Amino acid sequence: MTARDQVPDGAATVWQRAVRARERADREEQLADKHEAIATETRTELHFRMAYIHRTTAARHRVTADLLEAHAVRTAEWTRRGGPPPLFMTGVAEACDTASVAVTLIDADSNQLAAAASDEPARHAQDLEYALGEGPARDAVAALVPVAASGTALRARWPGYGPAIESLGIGRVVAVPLQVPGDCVGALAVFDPRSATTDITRFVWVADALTRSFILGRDAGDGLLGEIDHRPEVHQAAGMVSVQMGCHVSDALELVKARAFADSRTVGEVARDIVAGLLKLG
Amino acid sequence: MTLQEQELAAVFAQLTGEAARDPLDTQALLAALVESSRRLFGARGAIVQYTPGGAAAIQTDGTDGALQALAADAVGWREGPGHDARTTGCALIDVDVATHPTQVRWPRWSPRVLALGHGRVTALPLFSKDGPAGSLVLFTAPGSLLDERALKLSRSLADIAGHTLSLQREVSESRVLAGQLEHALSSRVVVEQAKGILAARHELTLEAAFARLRRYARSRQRKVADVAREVIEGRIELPTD
Repeated sequence: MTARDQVPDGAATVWQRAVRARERADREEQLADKHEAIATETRTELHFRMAYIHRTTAARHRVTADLLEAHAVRTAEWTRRGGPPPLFMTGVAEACDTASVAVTLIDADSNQLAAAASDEPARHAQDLEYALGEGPARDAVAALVPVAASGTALRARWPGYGPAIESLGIGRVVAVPLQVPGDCVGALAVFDPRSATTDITRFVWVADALTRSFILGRDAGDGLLGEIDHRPEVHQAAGMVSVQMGCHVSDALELVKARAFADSRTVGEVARDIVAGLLKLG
Repeated sequence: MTLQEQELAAVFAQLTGEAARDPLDTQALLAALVESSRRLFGARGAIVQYTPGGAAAIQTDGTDGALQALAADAVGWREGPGHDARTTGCALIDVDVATHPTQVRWPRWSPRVLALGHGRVTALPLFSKDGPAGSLVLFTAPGSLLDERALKLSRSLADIAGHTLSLQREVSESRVLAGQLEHALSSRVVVEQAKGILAARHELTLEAAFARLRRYARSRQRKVADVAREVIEGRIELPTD
């Protein structure tokens, strides 16, 4: 990916999208009010349900607007001050009341295809799940419901991943599937939300907004998807190892991951060494 | 709940059931809509026209063969209360088809409706998130009285149907987008893997490996990702330059 691809949308563009999301939220809210009025008058269950549907849609548009506004503010700040461009994922973390969140995108067979993270601990934790093939995102995708664990439950649930993220100083993790009806595209993992009482519903809304507006939305822009790491070096390394070891590339990928975990390094670091010819497996 | 409200609730269950079906079937939803609204309104018949927007074709249905034909013809003629309600987003309530102004307004549509024995018509717009997207037209006998309560319930039904149809459209769109995203992401994965394989096998730089992959694909008018998949599966050997 070139540096040009990483330059985010201008603040004004992002701000306009936030305004549109806010308008959509207001429209949904009005429809909810309308159905609620009819429901109260006629006492029909049906209108309560319609009101509920519009209310939750409004909530999703509001979360989308919040994420866009936060990103617009950061982008404007960056335009004035320079420095590294702001990460969309920083705003996602903020919306989840933490500094560390990671998004994992998967294929139909639940293989990780790409990932984005808000900070180093989140990136590291995401990488551990990638290396070990166990963890909250994988479980959330498999169960299609949120998964949460903290304290001693971390190692009980994930014998490899649990102790590894504990040693990163992470004590609680919540993962929510990124899904639309009939499809799951990945998971949002939230690490150490500041308030232990943070409602998981909040994370579900954020995940819903991410999926529908920033991953599958027609105007997804280059916010979240622009920050996605496709791990090119890892797949290049897997290809090389498959030739060197005479095995299938999927087995080679597992060897690269296993080596990373054994050496307490990230999969990317090990892969870069393989690609540079500094490390040979086997 | 009155009987009509129960009917409305049942319709809702049916509509949302149709919306959640796999594969998504808009035509089934429209068929359910005309039949339920006919019963709910106490009408002799009903027709619907709906388009998901853009360049998509207008889909129609009706409660019987003659009305199905009328519904399709009305779209071609671009006339009738259904066409007007869909394009303007305004409802037309209890219009007498036999009057002169009506016949002037819809010269082809009105005689056909009268010939079918219907006398009065009510057209309700169906709204998607982006605006009017369709209409529901209800036919009653000449001289029949408008049931205000049934009208109110039918308006509710039209609201819900419009919402359900746009929900269904959203679901099918997001499925397409999810498929495209997965395809794009996994294409990048296999291309990088194939680059690694070619680089190790032929002692090339990754750039040279990609150039070879791309040259091979171009010369055979194939996608780079498809060639990459075959390299990974060992099904092709790329010729050395």
